[in-house]
Amino acid sequence: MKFVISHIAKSFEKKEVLRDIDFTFEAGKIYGLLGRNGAGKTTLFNCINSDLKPDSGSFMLEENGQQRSMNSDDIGYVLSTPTVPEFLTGREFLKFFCDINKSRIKQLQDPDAYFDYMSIQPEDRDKLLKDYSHGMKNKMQMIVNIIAEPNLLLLDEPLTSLDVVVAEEMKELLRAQKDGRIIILSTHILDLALDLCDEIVLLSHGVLEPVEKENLDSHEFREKIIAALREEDHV
Amino acid sequence: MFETFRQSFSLRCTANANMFLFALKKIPIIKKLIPETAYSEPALKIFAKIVILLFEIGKFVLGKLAYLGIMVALPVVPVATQHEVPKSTVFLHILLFLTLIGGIVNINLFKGDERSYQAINLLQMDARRFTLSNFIYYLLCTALSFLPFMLLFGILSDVPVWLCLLLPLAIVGTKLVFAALNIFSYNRIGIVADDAKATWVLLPVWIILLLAAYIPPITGRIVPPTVSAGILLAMIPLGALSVLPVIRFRKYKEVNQSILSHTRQQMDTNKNRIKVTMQKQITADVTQTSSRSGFEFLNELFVKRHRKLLWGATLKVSAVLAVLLAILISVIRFVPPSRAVINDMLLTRTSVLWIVLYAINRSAGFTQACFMNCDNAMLTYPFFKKPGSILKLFRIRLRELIKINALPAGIIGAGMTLMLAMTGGTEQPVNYLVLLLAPIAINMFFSVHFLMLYYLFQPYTAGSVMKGGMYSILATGTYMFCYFMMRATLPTFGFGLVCIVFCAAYFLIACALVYKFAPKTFKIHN
Repeated sequence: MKFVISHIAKSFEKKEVLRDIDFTFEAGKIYGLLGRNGAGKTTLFNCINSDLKPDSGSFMLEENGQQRSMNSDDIGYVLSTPTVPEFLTGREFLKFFCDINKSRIKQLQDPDAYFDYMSIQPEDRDKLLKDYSHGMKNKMQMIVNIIAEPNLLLLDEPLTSLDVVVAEEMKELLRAQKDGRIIILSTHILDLALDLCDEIVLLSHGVLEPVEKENLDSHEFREKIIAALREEDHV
Repeated sequence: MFETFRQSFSLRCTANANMFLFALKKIPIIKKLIPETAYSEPALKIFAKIVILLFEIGKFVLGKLAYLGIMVALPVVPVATQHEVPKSTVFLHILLFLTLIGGIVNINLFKGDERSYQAINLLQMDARRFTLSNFIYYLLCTALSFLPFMLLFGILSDVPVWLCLLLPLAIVGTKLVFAALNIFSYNRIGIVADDAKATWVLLPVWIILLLAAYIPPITGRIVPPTVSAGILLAMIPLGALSVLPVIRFRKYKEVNQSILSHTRQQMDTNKNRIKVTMQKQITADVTQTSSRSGFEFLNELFVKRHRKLLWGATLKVSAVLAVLLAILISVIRFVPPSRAVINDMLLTRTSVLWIVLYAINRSAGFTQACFMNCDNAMLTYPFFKKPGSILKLFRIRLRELIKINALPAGIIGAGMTLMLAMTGGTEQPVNYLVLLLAPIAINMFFSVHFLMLYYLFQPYTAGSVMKGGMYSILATGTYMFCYFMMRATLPTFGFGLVCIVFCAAYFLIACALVYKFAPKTFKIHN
């Protein structure tokens, strides 16, 4: 399976944020999307998630050589600021999600099994989500994406404000989830991208560019990425 | 002190002007005329500030006109005629009690609002200078805006001109006296009137004062003018004496912070503040559960955990309507000449229902709660944005909103029917049915109308309450529509029938529009 971006462009008034992007992502890999602040990472994600309408271009999924349009079931989106309905408890949110999506959930398990998997403690499962910590809300967003098993999982700065233990748990979880799907993780923390991602893609000047690792060791690869990001300043 | 006031006034003007430009940039055709650099264009900025200033002046002036015209002067003639007392006596009686209420609920010394928070906590302005300079500005505006309308309505009510000239000062004096009382209270027990803790103590006091303003005059018990005018005039020297404790008070920062304390720590930004305020509306009672599934489950828990927000205001409005109804029924019972007037109004002036039901409908609060505490989060999930999901939840919410608005509409309908029967009835019995059904139909119109506007022009930006331009225009258009409807003088039967048919047709059209367009328009604006 491949996720194919063709000729995507998006401008805000006169500012061109995405310029005729062409890129293909492959299943089974975690992609690290790097870019300076304001480079357009969130704009790209919002376009993929249909929150913003691109000015031109298309997003397609390619399966067995056949391309088809994306639909909402194909996409999972975890935002940097976790968004959950705060008037529900963790368990109620899970029940609601499963009720609505029962036709597409392949192997529905007991809610507690998911909570166990995400290390959400039994005493927290029946608390209102408004009383959850940032990390726990993030985990709830991840749970629903694990249950729904979307073909494309977008993560916008997912680990930035998590404590070290939760961040490590989430990294392991993402590694375990990458088979058979495409995970794109936007971040500006280089160490995280190098540690977790199989491929690094830069979003600079409104276009996506892969950074080839070639035969470089990790230090040289890191220097190459930083140099590529710095180049933006001199354009 | 003047410099502090200048800074705070400039801050408010700039913030309001920016909001105005932001709203302009959201209006379909006009937004193309506004350049990208709107916020830094001096000419546009000045234009926006002038509009905001005119709006502020208009708000003050129209506010006083409506207050003195409707609350004070309107009941003067019928009461004075009924009990054969001078009009000025009734005027001064009502003004006295309403002025005392103003002293309790509307002093504007400690506001604990967003602007005070920004000025004192974020911009580190001197709290005392900020509070006092704004208080002085408020008192000056109050006196100046009251003066012309006090002269107008006072002279019309035969109040001597010299007294009309002094009454604005008496109102300002009352506010100063109550400001000093607030300070005294803070020094003694650490509470001011604006503190949430004081609300439940003061609420019954001002309700009693409100009843005292209107009920005794209806039954012929009116405070003698020497007493009412005497008390009001005494407020002028008492107010002057109160200036000293107000100026000498040093703990303005402390008081402001104590009012803001419940949200202070989380109010780093406007976004957080609104979010926190709305979060506080969630009832933390997880024992309230639902046996339903899917969107019905979501809706039932949403309503149960926002009961105070969604139903609180409706219940309060219903209680006030019930009290008003009781007053009107006692007027019909004890003042026989009123029967013909009320009967005539019920049979020819029911068009006023539009503006009344517009004023009390809870749709805006409902959609804001839906966005802030539910849709703001859920619209980031692709499954929630599916057309089928959007429409299913729209249907459920429409049903819920109609239920919330139904109680006051039902009270109005039942009340009017009852009053028609008590005032001599009608030759056409179908009028009873029309009076009962018209408010319910209009309530359904407002429910579907505002929910449709929310789904088609979703006006909130993520986390903020700033309204989109098109939404604001249509909401204002709704008000204008109600205002013009109010002026219509049709016989109740014709009017009611037109209302019911119009509301039913609109209901169907609005649902069709939502079904067609909401899947594209109902999303979070960045």
